[in-house]
Amino acid sequence: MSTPRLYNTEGLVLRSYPLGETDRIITVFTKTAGKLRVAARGLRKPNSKLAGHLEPLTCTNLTVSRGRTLDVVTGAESRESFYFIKTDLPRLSSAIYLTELVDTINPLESPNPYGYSIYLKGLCALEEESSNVQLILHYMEMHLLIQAGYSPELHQCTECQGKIVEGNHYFDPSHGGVICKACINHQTNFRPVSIGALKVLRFFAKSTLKDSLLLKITQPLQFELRSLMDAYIRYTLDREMLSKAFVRSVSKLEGTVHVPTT
Amino acid sequence: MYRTMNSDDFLPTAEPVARLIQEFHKLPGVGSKTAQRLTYYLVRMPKAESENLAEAILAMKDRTILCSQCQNISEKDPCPICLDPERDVARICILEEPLDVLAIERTHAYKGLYHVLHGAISPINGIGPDELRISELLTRLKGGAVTEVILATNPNLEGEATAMYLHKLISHLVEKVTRLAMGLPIGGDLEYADQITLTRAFEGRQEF
Repeated sequence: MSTPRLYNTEGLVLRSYPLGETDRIITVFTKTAGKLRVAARGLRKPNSKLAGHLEPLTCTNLTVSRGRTLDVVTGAESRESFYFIKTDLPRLSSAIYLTELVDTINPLESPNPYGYSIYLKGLCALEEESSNVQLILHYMEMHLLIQAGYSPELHQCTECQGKIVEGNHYFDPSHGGVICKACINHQTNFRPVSIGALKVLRFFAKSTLKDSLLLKITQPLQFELRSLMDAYIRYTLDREMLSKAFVRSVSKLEGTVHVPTT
Repeated sequence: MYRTMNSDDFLPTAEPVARLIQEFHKLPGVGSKTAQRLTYYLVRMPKAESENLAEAILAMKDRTILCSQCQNISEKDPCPICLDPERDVARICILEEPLDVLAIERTHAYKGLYHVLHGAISPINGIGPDELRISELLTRLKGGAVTEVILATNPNLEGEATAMYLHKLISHLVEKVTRLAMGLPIGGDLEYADQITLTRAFEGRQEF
């Protein structure tokens, strides 16, 4: 049986690039087929019927026609536009950061329905006015890393496999998690981690987003979690997320939450 | 034979021709086939016309500068728009690109000044506020003569992020910060409009 020329899929638009005079190439994270790169014709014309439905940070139902080099979007209808995220600068900067993380972690054409559902849940949580942006970010980072196979070890020493006891714990991104005092290698970028931060990370790893958002976290603990996750993501993905600088600029401008640079 | 764009892509042609193909290929929206077509068109072009084209490119690079006030491309500093006494100096319209100035000027609907950012915040591509002409804008606003800033960045994610960032940054420096209206385009079709466009169209509706 031949492959159908048209297929329908639900997806979250990650980013887009200009193509030729009026077209765009869209990177879309689909529910069933993973991350795809598709062409959308005439998207940069002011009266394009598809443009509003294919903006980044939109959950949309797509009809796609198979093409020789790139598949082409022939129809799109947005299911959720995340209007509140797009009108609130701190939420928008955080959503853009999560989008970059999803884009970096997921290879092309590799189905990942669990990753899709986490990303969608994260955006829906950011869309709720009363939700805590920092908690959503920490939870999403943890679960996006877990589903990609980069789960940090948080219970036993990554070197000697000994149980981590209170007052004797460090975090070393190059070891992939916690490490005990006796196993510290002074050549690597280890850092002390508080028992509070460790417990919160363990809770995030095994809990639902809904439960995780009930946590009350002090600002010093938030700084520590931010710093730990940034270091772990930088080491694991071997690059700095480009949008992180913008998240910091926005936090500074808002004057609410300080985001450490290390 | 001369090696061109890709390591496995040999063009059996003269080196100057292959070099020009490579140069065209660097331009936005120009693929390898278009680059070859343009180059072979120029090969057949009379020498005087080729010289005109080369001279025009060099003159464009040699004789254009950025206006120190609005950051638009100009032959003189300040540019004719910034020098025009008929212009309303209390209004500044913020735009992403110099081409946007042409689009607004064609409408004859705006008589204030401009400020060109030369891009939009695109965090995912590593373009942050520091890469745009924002510090020059702050210097202009601190002069105190401006009462209204019109944010006319594109109505897409990058343009919206830029507009929201600028609003936070400058709202204490000017009396009024406005954003261009958003809604349904002329010739558009209501049934195909997305949720955000329709929401904004309702929010911005006016008495008939």
